[in-house]
Amino acid sequence: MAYFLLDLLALGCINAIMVVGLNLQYGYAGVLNFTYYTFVALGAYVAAVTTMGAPPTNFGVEHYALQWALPWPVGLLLAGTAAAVAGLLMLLLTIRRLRSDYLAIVTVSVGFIVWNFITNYIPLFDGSNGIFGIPYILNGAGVDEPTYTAEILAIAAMILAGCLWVSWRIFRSPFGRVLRAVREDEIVAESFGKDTRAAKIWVFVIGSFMAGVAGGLLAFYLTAWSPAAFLPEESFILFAALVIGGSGNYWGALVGAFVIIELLSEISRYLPSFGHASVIGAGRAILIGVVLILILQFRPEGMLPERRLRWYRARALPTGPAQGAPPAGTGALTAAPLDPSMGAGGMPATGEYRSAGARDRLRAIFRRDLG
Amino acid sequence: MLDIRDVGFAYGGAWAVDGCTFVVPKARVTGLVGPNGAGKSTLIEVVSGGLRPRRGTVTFDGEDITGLGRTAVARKGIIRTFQEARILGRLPVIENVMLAAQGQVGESALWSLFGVRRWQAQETALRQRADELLSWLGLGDVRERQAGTLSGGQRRLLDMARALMAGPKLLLLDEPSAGVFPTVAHLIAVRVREIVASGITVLVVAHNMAFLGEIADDVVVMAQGKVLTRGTLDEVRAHQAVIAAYLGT
Repeated sequence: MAYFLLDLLALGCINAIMVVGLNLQYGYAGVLNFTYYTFVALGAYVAAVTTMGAPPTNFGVEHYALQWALPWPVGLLLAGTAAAVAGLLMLLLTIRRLRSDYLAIVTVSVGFIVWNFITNYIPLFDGSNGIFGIPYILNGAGVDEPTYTAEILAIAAMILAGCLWVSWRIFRSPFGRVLRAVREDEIVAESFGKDTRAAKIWVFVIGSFMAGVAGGLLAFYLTAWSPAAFLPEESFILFAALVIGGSGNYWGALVGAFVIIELLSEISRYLPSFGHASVIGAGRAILIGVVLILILQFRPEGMLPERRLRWYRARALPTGPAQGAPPAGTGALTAAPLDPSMGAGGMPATGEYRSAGARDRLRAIFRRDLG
Repeated sequence: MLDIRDVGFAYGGAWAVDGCTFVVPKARVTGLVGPNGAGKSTLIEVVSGGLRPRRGTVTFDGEDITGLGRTAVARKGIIRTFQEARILGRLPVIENVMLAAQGQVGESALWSLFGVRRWQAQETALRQRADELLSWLGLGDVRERQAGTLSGGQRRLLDMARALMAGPKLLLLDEPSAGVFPTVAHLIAVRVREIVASGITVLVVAHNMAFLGEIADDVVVMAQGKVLTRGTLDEVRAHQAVIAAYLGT
């Protein structure tokens, strides 16, 4: 039972890293990447071939590239980097001409192209046979399975904490605000001088990096990887987890990963088999689909909706006049002096606000010399 | 300030704007009127960088900005509002306004992660400024509400607050009084006059002549993509070509 729980937690943490990365792309910026799991797979392959040496003979003839036999942390870093670079390339090729749903269609196409290429080009990752004998990390080869699982869990939990920190920081920052604006209405964001293209590229690269790292961890844990592990439906399960958990909320991503992927998906692997072998797999997909439909019907914002920043609800501030009753003359605005540290980006700090004529009032608000 | 020279834009084969030429002088309110299909909103779209004209030039403060694109044009100081107030519904009102400020350090991905102290100081000042603007436009009480819950009139005011937050040199107002209660329209008119008094230039598209009468220093009349005439509101109202364009005679 303890091993079962450890296994669930380890896979849960790895899946959560994936969903947190997907949340950055879709939940924050609204970029629909229907081939997200391809980046997970790319990370898994890169982590495998950069940490493996020559093909082991006891698994038969294997063909794969690189064979660098690097230490596993380097392999994990390269896994994330490879996925990030792949994400960057994909977006650079498409973002100038495509938006929203068209971009989503391209991601599906890219996923099929990559899957078919990897499956059929054997020298790269041994085609449809896949790669076996991916080395255990730490001292995994010399310990029993529960201990190795606990070690993977510890590493995955630390990486997940880092990913959550990045998500939290981005959500609270002006960069996060630009991403949310891009998600809501890209034209509005552009009309206020925001570089929406750069914002989308950055968030796509960061999310892809997380996918690659999660894939690398998964490869080290399973010690095998093949095209059968990254069928297109895997991306949709991650989307289902995010939507049900609550897109735009990193806690929602976390809940979605554990509740949907683990409870509904992984637990079913341990159910006693009955009927045809495919019944449990099909039942799992149906169950996730039903839960997704129910959530979209009755709670479209997900189990944990996007949070409002408490930071904005700071202190009592002067309220304006009732709508429809314009203040006569002066005195509608009374405010404390601005923070003198304000000054970057064409917003020079000037003196305090004076409740005088219209010109002074506006000057005080804009903090710039309007000449 | 803004010099529009022989600008033409066609949707397919139909010229929506056809050889438009006029100047918007600094620190004044210029009204842009005309019957439906006159090309006013297309022209606003061309000036704000949303559409690249097929011919002609748009010059702002002596610099050619023709076809620069929305982001680049906004960074020059030309900020627009929309015919349908396009608020960001899932964001709180105050975040809608704060978004618009230019030169935010924390909008860079790397600074957002590793330069927290720098952008947090700026955020404090921005929040204060956004609060002031919202109060000034009568939205102080709803600053924390989700923008999607605002009424039509409140959305118009939010659209304006957001545009002002961007620190515009030229403000393009597209139908700011459309579909709002007369008292809100009056509030908008009063505020527009105060904005102009602070040195900002305004080009406003409007159908509501009473509203335009409150704010416009002069009026450009368009019909069928061309400029018909220009003058004070009373002058253009008496112009035969304008009467013909509106009445279809």
